[in-house]
Amino acid sequence: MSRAEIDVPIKKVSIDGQVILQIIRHCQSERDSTDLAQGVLLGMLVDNCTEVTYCFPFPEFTEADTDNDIEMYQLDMMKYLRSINMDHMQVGWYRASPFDLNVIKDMLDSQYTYQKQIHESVGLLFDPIKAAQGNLSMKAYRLSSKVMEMYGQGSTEFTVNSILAAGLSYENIFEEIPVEIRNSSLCNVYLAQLKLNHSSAPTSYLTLGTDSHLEKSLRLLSESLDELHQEAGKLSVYHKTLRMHHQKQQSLLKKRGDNAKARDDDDSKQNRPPPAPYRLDNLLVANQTNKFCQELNQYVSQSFSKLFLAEALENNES
Amino acid sequence: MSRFFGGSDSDSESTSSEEEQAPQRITTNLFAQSDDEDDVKRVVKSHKDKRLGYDCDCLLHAFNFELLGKIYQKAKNIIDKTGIPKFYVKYLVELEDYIKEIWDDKDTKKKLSKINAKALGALRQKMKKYVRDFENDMAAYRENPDVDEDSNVSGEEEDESDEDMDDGDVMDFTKKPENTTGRSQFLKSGSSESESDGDDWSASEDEDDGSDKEGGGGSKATGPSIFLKSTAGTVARDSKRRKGKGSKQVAPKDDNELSAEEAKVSKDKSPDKALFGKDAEITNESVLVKVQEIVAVRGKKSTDRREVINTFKELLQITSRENLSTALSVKILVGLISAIYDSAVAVLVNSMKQEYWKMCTEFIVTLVDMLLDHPEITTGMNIPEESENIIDPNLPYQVRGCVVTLVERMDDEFTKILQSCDAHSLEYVQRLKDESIVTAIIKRTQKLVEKNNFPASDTCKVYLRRIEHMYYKYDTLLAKTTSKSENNDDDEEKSEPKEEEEGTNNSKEEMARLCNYIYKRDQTERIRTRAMLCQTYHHAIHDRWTDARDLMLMSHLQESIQFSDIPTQVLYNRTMVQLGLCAFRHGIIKNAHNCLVELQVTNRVRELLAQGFSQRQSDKTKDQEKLERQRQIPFHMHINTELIECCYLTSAMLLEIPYMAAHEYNRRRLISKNFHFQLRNSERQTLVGPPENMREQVIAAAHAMRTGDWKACSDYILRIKVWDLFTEPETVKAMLLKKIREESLRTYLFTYGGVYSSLSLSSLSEMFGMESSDVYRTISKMIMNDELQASWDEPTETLMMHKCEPTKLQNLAIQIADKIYALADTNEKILHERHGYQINKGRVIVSDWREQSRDRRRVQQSQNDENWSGNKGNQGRSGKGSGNRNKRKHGGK
Repeated sequence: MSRAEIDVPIKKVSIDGQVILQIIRHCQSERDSTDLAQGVLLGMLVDNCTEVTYCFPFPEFTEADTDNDIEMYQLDMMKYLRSINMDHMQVGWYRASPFDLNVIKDMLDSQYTYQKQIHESVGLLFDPIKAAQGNLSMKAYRLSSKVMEMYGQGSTEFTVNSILAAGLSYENIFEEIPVEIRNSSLCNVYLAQLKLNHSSAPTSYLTLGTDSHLEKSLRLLSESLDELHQEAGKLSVYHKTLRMHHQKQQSLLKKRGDNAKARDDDDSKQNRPPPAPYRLDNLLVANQTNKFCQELNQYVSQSFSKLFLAEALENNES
Repeated sequence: MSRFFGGSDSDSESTSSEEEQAPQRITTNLFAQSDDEDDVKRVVKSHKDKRLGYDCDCLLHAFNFELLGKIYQKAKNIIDKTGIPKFYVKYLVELEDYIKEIWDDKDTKKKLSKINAKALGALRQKMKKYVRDFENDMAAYRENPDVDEDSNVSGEEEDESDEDMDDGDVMDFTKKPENTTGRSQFLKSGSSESESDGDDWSASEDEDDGSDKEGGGGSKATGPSIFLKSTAGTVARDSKRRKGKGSKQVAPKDDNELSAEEAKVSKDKSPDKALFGKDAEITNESVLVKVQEIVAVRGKKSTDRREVINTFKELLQITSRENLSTALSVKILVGLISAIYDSAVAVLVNSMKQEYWKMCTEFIVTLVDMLLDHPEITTGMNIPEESENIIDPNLPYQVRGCVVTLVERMDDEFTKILQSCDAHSLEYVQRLKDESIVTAIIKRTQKLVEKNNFPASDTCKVYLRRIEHMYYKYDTLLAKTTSKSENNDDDEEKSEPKEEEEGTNNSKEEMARLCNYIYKRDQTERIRTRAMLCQTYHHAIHDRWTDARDLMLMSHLQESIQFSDIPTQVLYNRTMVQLGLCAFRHGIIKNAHNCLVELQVTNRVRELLAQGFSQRQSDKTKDQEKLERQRQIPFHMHINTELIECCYLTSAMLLEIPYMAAHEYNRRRLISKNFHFQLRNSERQTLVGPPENMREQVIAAAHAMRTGDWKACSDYILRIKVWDLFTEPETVKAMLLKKIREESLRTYLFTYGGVYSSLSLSSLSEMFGMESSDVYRTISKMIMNDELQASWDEPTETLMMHKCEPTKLQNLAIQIADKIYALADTNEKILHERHGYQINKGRVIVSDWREQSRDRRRVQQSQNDENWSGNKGNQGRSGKGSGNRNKRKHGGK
């Protein structure tokens, strides 16, 4: 691909229905394991769209596996797929994230590596819990170009000032890309037929969200709030030390008077200002918190509409 | 010489000596006698040698004059009493005349060197000023210089041995310089002679051949009397020895010459084998002289202390054998006891040797008894040495020396002895047996003090000692020891029926009596504080909780205790602990916990109670450690730290577990940090084994209680062994069992109340093994306090639970709201900080932010209210709200 293509933003991700089924199956089968299910997406690029046509899961890693082994496995898989004439271009990765719990630092890291190698890579997050409730939740994310730039420069870059300068905020670390599910015509026909055959009224539409789900979400939210608070604390400590440092330097300067200005350079070397806190975590946590809130919002508004609907129905009946 | 004495030529004796002789004499004398002023004199001497003139005299006289003035000031006390010594007046007169003469004699004045002329001028001025005070005396002297004759003669006599002395006049004059330098000289000679004294005595004890020297003894005896006469100038020369002693007593041994003479006497006497010649008449006076000699020697480095003690002992025997005055015995005893203390200081760094201490107590007993038997003898530190009256039976006896101080010192030494020996050894027990002796002594001193109307400060001191030996003992024990000591000195008790009565009183009343006296009469804050603490302690160990608490609260010590000295603070801590334990025994768990928590939180209980050292000592210097060691409380007074901790943890458990159950979600404050720490520790363990020590047992009990399992809980708690340390472990255990049942019931209802819709009273009382009335009471209290949403259904005897507890979800929502609130605050602070030093940029924004946050708070408040009303929808909204808030926050950044 040429340089010109790199700058073209990805507008949407279209995923093959089969891939989605594969991902669901994989996530379900690994539901009980401690690690979250992960896998590789294969496909190709069409204009501004990343088409995902196939995927394969990572096996469960054991301690003994090194990164090298995983890479070898990936390469082997792609080689085999190529030999059976499938798309063998790696266009991203997927992972299960119950409750939208994106183990966020990890995600940033892996997305960064993917995106660095292949610009069009996307990260696909799948929520198995929601799927179990009957809502398919599949979200594609990419890192924004600013983050890519800054992250590439090293972790020390994420200070308050640099983040401000880059115009980065918790909202635009990740770009969410619309997901489109595309099935073959044959598939669509089959689905339509299924619909005709099972036309009986479903009964569980008005089931409200359970307390436990809300509870769990709130718990997660409160955890992330705690983290946010911690980060804020760090920042305030930093401000305090910085101010003290400034005062100290001021008093030093006063003591020395103007004549010693020449020596200031040495001084500034000696008493360096305290290191600026690392703000990336804060951004990520804020992002996470935001997402929890959105989820809750969505969930609750659904529940509300159900509630009102049920109320109306009940009034009708009586 | 004529120049010298010309004006005052009243002396009948010769004025024929050469002119230069006098000055020469002075200088040599000075030179020989005082080494301090060597340099000065050397200069003077060389001057003199060169010129061989009188001009150096001026300087010399000026010098001497000043020195004399100083010594005069020092001796002022005595002089005030005895009147100005004649020789002094004489000197002044002569000097004045001499100055006048030189001043008038223009020729000589011209001849004077510059320095001397200056000195002469200065001297003259000073003299004029100084003499004003003595005008009368000098006038008297001028009129009647003959009185001086006596002293001259005595001087001659005294100085018989002085070969150089050939002229009375010269001698007279030389005497003055001797005076002037006398202080240092005396000290020097005194010490050197005292050394020889010691040696001589020991030698004399070895060989018994001193009998033939009685003559020497006799002559020696006359020595001081003669000299005394000369100094005082009032006593006839041929007066008896006794009288001589009497006068000496009036102005004892502060006079330089006198003591010098005394020293000389002892030197003469030294070859004697015994303290007194065999045939020498042993009288009050002779013994007194002896005593004073020894006392004078006290404190010198070279003194052999053992010898001093032995001598004192011997003297004591002699006095008792010869039936001498009791006051004298008292004097000897006081000296003896002090001498023993002195030796203790030298012998051991930490504590006295046991034998010494034993000896000491014996003598103190004798001393106190003696004073008790002879109320006519007054003692006290405020009696000046001059007004001591030991011998004269016509006047009230007065002996200098404070019994109270001696007793206090003895008590302190006893504590030190206990500190220095291993608390777990047999030796300690042996030593501890002596405690009864100490108590007995203090009791007797107390009697003495009461009988003889000692000043209030002394009485308070003795009372405090008594209290401090009483407050930590449990009454049964105390009764035993008091009765024992009473038996020991029965004969005495009989004479004082009132005292006996007192002994049979219980310790409480005794304590109250002593303390009340101190409260009323004490002037020093310290004794009062200590007495108060001791009384509180005493109340506390005897389970008089209300008394103890009231006393503690009335004392207001909590505010001021940190300003007092460390031993008192330690006592305060001890009292607090006992108060806590007392409350615990009474089942007043909350108070018990409050009393103990301060001490337990620090983790330095041992240190705070002065019962040992904490592990971390690295930050302490050697000195600090040493000091701390000195503060340690003897082992028998220790409070068992495990018992303290156990009581503390148990009360913490009884308070904390129901509290935790009631406030599962918003535990804002911890009642006991320490307890939580332990609890969390045990929770963190992967495998919880059966509890092994007290701490684990309490924690295991706490875990059992959390599920309302009172049986397991009480099993764990009652299995702890330290309860047996209470005097009545059974009642304590019964109390604990009751408390555990109650608190378990409360915990159970808090934890599982939500599950029930109704509970029957009978089943509850069965479950917790409690009387149904108790269950009823406990639950009613909970309902009253709004802790439990329930009500009684009286006819069916069931408890109806009202389901209006917030659900878990609601609790969570509240929690989140709190967190968001805190987060918003922090954010605001950060913003403030940031714009605080970027000065102008942020002003507007900050104020803007303030308003926003205020709005937010209001919104949140309303949300909180809504949350309480408990609608699921609100939860969602609050979540939404928080999301928005977050957004805004970050947008703000």
